[in-house]
Amino acid sequence: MRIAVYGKGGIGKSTVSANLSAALSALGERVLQIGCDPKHDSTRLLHHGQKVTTVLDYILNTPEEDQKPEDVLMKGYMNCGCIEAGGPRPGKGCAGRGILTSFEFLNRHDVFSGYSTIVYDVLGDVVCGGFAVPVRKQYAQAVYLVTSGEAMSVYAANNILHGIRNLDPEGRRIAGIIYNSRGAGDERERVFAFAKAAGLPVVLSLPRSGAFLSAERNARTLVETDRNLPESRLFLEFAEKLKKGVPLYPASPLSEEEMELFMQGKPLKSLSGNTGKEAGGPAEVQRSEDGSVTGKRRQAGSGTAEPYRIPQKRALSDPFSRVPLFGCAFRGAVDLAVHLKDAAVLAHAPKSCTWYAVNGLSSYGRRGLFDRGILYPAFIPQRFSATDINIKDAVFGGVEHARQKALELAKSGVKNIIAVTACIPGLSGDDLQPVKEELRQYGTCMYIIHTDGVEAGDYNEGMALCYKTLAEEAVKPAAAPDPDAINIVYEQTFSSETDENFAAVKEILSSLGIRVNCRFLCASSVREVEGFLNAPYSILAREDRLGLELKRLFEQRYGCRFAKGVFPEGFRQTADFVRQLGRLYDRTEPAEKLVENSRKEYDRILTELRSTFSGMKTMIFLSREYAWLEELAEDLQLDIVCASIPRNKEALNAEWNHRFSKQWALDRDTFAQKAAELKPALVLTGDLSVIPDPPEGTAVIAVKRSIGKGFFSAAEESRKWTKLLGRQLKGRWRNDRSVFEKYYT
Amino acid sequence: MTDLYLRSTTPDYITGAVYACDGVRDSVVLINGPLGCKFFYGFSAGKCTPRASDLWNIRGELGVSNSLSDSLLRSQYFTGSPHIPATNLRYEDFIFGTAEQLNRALQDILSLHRWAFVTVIQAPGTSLLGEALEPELEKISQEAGVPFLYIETPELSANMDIGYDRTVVSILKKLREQENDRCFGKESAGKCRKDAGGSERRPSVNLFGLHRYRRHTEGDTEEIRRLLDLCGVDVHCAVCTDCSVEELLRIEEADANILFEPECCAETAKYLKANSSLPLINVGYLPVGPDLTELFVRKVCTVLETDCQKALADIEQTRARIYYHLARWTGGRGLPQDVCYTAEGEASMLYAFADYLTGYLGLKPGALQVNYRECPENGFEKLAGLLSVNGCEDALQKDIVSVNNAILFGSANTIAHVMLCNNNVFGIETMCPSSGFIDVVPKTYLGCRGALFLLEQVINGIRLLKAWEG
Repeated sequence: MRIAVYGKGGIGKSTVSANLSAALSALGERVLQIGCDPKHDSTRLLHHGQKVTTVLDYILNTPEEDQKPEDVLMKGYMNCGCIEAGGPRPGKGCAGRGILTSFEFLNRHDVFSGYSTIVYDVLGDVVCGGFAVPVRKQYAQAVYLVTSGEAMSVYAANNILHGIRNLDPEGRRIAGIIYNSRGAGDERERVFAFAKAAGLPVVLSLPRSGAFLSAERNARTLVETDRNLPESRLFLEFAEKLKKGVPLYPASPLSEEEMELFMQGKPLKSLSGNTGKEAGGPAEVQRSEDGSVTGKRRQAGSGTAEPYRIPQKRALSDPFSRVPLFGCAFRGAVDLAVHLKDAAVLAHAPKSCTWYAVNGLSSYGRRGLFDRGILYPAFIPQRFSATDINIKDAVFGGVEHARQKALELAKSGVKNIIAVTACIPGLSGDDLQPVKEELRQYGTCMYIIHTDGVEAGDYNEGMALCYKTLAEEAVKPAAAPDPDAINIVYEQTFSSETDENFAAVKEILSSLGIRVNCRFLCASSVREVEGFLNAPYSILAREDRLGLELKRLFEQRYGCRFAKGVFPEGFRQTADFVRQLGRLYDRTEPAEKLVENSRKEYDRILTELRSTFSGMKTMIFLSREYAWLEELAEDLQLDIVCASIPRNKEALNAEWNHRFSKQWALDRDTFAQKAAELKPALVLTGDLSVIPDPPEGTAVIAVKRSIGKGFFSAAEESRKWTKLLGRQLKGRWRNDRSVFEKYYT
Repeated sequence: MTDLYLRSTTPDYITGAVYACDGVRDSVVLINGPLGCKFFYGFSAGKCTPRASDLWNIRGELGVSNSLSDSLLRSQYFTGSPHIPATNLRYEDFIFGTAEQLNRALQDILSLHRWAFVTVIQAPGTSLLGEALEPELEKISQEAGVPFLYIETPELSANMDIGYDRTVVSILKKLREQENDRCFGKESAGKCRKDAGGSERRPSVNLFGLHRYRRHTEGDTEEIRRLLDLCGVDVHCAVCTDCSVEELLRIEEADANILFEPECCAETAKYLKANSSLPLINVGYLPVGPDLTELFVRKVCTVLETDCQKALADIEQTRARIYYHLARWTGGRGLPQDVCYTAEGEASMLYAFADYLTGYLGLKPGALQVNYRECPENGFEKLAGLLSVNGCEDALQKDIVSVNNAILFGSANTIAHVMLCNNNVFGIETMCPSSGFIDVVPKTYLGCRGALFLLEQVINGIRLLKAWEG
């Protein structure tokens, strides 16, 4: 027989469990009692207050190869086995996970097999999955609920019924209610009424008695103290019944509304759909949905179950409200942190997350090496350390583990550590702040990025946290202001074009005598970040929600000034960009000269390209605007015969339409039809699938979301198109799709 | 720092579990966790063998780009990659429980395709919750008529081999529970070599341990199959490499179980000893080079009482070809002694490579980095012994980065890392992740073909190293 005793904290579960174990032992049963409460006092009355080694403490402090079950198994009254699962320190780790871990240990060492009866004494309420472990099928068969008539105790009992119904919706797992009197008013009636409403028997009624207290003072059960006491006899009689076997009942909790009515002493029939019987008749109570997905509800009187409806009340339950989180915040933060060359990254995470993150970022390094023969150091991190959190860290908290790793780094001379935390430290509540303080004595600064996995959100949120943490904590007051310096903020960190784009912008800046002070955060260093305020202006490399947030942070916190716009594409944008820098840095004349010289070169390139493109019948299908393309289309003198660009009509008329006076086809099908009809030489599109089978002689060219930067970037982009014009070869391989289907599907 | 780096770039327990399940055709692996937990497995899994495209299975499409505008992008479980879906949990689910969302994900996934096997793996964060999801999964499994494997506690920081090994055992156990009569325990299983017509049939074997994280799994399996075929032995089932549920259910119809490396087969070996009536051929290494290949075929043929002459002839021809190329290229002097090789991998894998590269080809080991020493059984002692016999024990556990002028065997991660510190290295990829080279022709480092392919790489690698020196 395997029994679990549940009930509200302080209701007397341990006293009941211990006396029950003692009674069963006295009747010749081989009993093992397992306390499943971090405060580990369940078996005290059985083993007379011996020093307890809890399973979790033992696992924590003993190498696996040295672990023996007898080290956690105490012998109590009549050889009754006593085990305390234990738990993490209050407020730390995950106690539920701790219970699971303890049970895995006990299973692994086959502790259960030597006993005929197992009694689980479980923490007050089913607060998380871990505390449900003892009622899983493989452990306890029968559940007793200990309750008094006090409101909170009855609520807790009802909540436990909910939990058990969720675990085993169709099973009969409840053996009944043990009423432990507190001697308050009409509590007996209330307990019996609740039992009736829940369809359960009251199997044992324990009077309020000083005898319990007196025995407890001697660290003894009443059964051991004096078997002839009336209270002891109650336990012994109950144990006799248990030995013979007990009927089990389904868990049929009252709904919240029913509980409220019940506690107010009102009849339950007022609930909609009620069959009209008063509280106390469990078969008659019509129950409402309670929010549990796995449950089945018992129909009045029938005992059969109907499929449970997924509740609609919680927004989270609505699959259509569930916008996918793209990627993981931990990874986003790690991917950005590796860009600081003079810092070590400390991943406070399990190996799974570390491996996943390192491989994610190293994939860019590998690809760069293979595709272009370039090794990007940032993507092959040289100073990357990980705590490789294990289950002990998860249960007991992993701060010490992180501390050791951080100290190792500090002692090896690392001056800056970016610590990034994953889901598990977030769930366990690991606080690395004391470690940060301790590291100061080694002259090492730690920046903690609390991504805590999904708690922070998705990949972008992780990046945002890393950006913001460093912007807020690493930037120092300007020590050496440099009027000729500029910062670049928010470059794309994972793009094969980042280096080229930076080089193009740097060339423009250099020609104006401006030096790059800090790239925040791309191939940068903590030292550069610290000196961010030395530059009078900054440029935002690209603009999106996060980029704007960062800009605002620098403006509001440090009074930073940003140049208008982002890295420029095409001639017009670049000319504006250069003139702006000229004004900001008091270099108007060199800026104008640069624009003028570049104009000449641009005109030369365009003249050459127009010999190919001028008057070319062109169709355009885009899902967004491209300012450089508008300019380029005009400069190349393309003949735009049809375009589909999602903008408001006024804007289209104001810009594109007045230039080309063309037809507007706004849906894919119409666009494809038009292409078949108009047979353009060139189709420019952001989505190649819009014309899967282009007409003979039509070149379909993908318009890149982002092109190079600077005066000639758009013109150079169109130079690439020239190679794609003319006849498109298809190849006979396309005819073999059926063969593929034959062998591979 | 190399050791630290290797520790962070070697795959984890969940990868092993995912790859074991992914080696079963028509199966799906669902990660019960946020989408972030699935992306790497989703993008990297299934790239080593051209199994029937999962994307095809799911949506009738060949490339993700074909489907991005369609249902794949709309699916909150597959988002962005067609492989290894996740339940798309959010932080709130960690508080309220994951059962609802798991239910929805499974219903969606089961409606897409008739799967033969479903695995649900708890993501690291989800495994902390200790939820009792078995009843829910059991119910859905019964409704769908598909066996479900539930991996509740993936070891948070254990390595891939342990994950692979344990998951193979879990799959076998699950299928045994599922169809006990068909799977195990038949006294006569495998012993009768008569087919239905009464004529003698060829013996067959099950292969264990050829996991998909190796660089050339498809070619490896093909080569083993070819060698065994020359020995008159068929491969009944390449367990969790590329097999069907039906094959797994009938593994006792084979005549022997062959296990390769102990790192990823130790638990499997224990399980088979206790539950299978078939003889266990515990090879203990991968057959790399002609000597180990010969030992391998002789061992198999001895147990199965078949003729290995054809296989030995094939190995002999391989030896001749190796001799010709080495003698011709080196003028009979042997490989240059100022070039060495470095390698990372399981001890058993390094043992096999060292046996061929050092013992047979005469190439010096510069540094051998043993991964996964925490595996309960590993070939470390054997490797140390081999190196000692060849007077090269100082290469063991030496930092790979410290060795210049070397042929490096490892993952593309390690190759890139070493190249960053050292410009005279020729990298040969032996395991994933790869640099991105697409192998259209299946390749292998095992058996006869593998010995020749490795020699080709080594010779040309040395030539390139010399060219760089010049």
